[in-house]
Amino acid sequence: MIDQNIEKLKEIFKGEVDELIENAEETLVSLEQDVHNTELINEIFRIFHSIKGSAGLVGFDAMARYAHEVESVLDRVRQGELQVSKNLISQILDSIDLIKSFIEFHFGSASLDDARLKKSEASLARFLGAGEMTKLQPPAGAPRRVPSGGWKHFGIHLELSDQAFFRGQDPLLLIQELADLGEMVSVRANTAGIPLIADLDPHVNYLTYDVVLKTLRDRASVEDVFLFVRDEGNITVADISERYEDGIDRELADKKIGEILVDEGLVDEGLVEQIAASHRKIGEEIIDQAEVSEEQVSEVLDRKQKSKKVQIASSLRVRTDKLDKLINLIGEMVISVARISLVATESQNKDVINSLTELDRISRELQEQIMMIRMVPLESTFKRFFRVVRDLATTQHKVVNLHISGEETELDKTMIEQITDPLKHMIRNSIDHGVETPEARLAAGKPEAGSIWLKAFQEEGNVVIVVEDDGHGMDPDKIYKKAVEKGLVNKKRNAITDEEIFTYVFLPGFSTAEKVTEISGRGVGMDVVKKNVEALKGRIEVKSTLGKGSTFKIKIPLTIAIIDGMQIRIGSRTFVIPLDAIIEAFQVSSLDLKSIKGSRDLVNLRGNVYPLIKLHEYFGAGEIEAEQFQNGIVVLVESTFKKFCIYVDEILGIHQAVIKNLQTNYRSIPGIIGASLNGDGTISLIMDIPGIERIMQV
Amino acid sequence: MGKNILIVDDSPTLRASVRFALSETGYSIHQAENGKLGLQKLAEIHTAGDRIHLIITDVNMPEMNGLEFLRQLKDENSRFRFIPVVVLTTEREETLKQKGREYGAAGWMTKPFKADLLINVVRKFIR
Repeated sequence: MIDQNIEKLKEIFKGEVDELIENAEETLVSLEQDVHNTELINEIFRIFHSIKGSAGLVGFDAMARYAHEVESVLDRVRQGELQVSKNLISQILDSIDLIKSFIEFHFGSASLDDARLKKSEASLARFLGAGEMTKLQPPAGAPRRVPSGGWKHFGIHLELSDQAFFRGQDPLLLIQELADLGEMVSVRANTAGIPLIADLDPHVNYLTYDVVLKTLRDRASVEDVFLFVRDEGNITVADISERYEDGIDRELADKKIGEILVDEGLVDEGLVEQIAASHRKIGEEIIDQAEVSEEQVSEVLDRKQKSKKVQIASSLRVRTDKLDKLINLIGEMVISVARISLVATESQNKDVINSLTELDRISRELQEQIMMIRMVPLESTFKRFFRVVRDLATTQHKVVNLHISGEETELDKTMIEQITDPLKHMIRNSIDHGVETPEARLAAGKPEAGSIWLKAFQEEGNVVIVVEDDGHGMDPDKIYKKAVEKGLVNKKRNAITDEEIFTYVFLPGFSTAEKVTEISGRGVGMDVVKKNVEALKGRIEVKSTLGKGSTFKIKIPLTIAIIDGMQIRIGSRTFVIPLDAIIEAFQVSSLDLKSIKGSRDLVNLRGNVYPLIKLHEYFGAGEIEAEQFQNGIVVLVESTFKKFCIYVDEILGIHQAVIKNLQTNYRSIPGIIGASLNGDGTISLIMDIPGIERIMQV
Repeated sequence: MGKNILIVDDSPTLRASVRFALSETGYSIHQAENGKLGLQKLAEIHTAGDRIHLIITDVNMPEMNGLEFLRQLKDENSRFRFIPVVVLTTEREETLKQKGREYGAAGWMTKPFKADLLINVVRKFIR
């Protein structure tokens, strides 16, 4: 307020107090005659109440404080705690005189008689009783705090009472007020609470809002916006500055487009799941289904892109070997913790066990986080293939379009390096052997341009990469003929399913190309691809429909350093079977076991017959415990070519194995990927299922 | 169109200070000395075809106090039902505040007040 106004205000104040005092004196006189008249008591109370309020307004704090004390005494009278006595009336008259001297002090030249004020206050205090002297609280509503510490980002959830409209509280105005504090990064209204139109009451507030605000103000200033609404609604203000940089959400880059659209309430979660299950491009599909506009999707994509840039800009280059060392150390720490936990369990000391459980959780989380550092998106690898496809298609006089999706899927950096060549080979194969010439395609009633889809996605802790083409597919009879010619099979054609025949393309030395071309069919066959994938503890599957196309599916674990497995015992040794290879484990009875002379044992499981592999001898683990064999446990596993059963003496449990390379310390053992330390310090060997399939010639 | 604020308080000092505090906002400030006169003023303005956008009222007033004024304003049949009401008082008692809220007060401010805070409060209800 400007000075001129203050002077005017003081004049008005003086006029008001003069009038109030005059009133007060008259009322007091009446009260003396009629001590029980509550109206008179209320009137005199109201007068001092008004003096207090107005004195505070013009900044006469001492006067306001004094008036407050008088008011407190009068309040006790009002509440019936004090009787109107002669004594009290003289006290109030004295107080009126003091108010007058305050006025003279502020507006005249008189000085304030401090001693008199103190005496009056002391006597007022006696009416209040010791210790009940209340002090006037400091004025409420301190001004907004000064900015500190640069830009902040706040995530604000605004859920007003359903009575907000009745009270005249408008969420829009609150949001506009937030906007005054800085820059609105995002504002989203959640419409889920709106009932059917028949049940809708326009005077009831159904909406909630989520706002991200970029501001220089502190949290208290943001919370001040909700001064009147924070008590009755559900309003949270969270400092999310760490997540945001200059209005850009760092986490956006890590999210799938579908996830973002769901988070922002643009589409229904069910729809996204449905589309995701079909492995089609979410963005396009959602626009197709007219759920959101193309602009909305491209706006989200744009923000995602920006988020990525922020991520990259704030990233740090670290040498891989340093990271590997860290991963190794963490792995060992996890094992050490497991070992201590074992000792602690034996000690039965509850406190130790509890704190170790916590430590165990933290160290596992730490391990996971560090593994995450190694993850990079497949994007750059995928994009490289556009060139490969174009070049190769041109030399083959074919027209091929490459469609990529899921390029944001992340994979361990080392694994990406190792998967690039196999992928390149598979794509070349598809162009070479899969996609037909434009003439042949037109003749077959297909579009002139062939398509190759390269897709990646996560599934059950694995990364799946699919290479699919709409070429002429594989002819099982042709493959069978070739395999027989090359002496790779000796079974009858009708004894083998088409699916099994397709797996022959992975056999060493197999090539179906009628002529050797420049790129594929030159010795480096699908067997090499398979070997590379298996080196990553992955699996490869093939599907094909003659005339329609082929699909190669590579499934690799997210990381090669840790493997989830089932810990089992064979004779005197413990092993880990990778969980993703296991179909099921069950107990067999003698009825399910079939021994055929000169051949291997077979297990009959619900009508399906699988070969039974006994590894005791191969791993030098002693003899099978004979009497138990009839009731032994078998684990059904799935490898590249076949499903088969492994006989085990005991299942010990689930084991998260940090893989230690055997080669570096010993030598490579066929059928074993590596070793893993158990909690008690002993070692489990981790089985290489495709390797065992080869060795045991299943 | 200009926005109208009605200040209901028996203290001319208070009314003037609200007027001064809001002078820069450009809103028209209307005044009444108590609840009863406040209702009259409202009726007058609305009959003239204009309307009040925000009411600021005291609690302790002669004739009709702020709570009764609020109760009548927010009555089911009141045509002023959806006008936001901010209570401006020296009362700090929680139970009274609670009562005000039940009656439909949009906000609660305590006297004495700072001009910039009042402006901030007003901005929560009109722009």
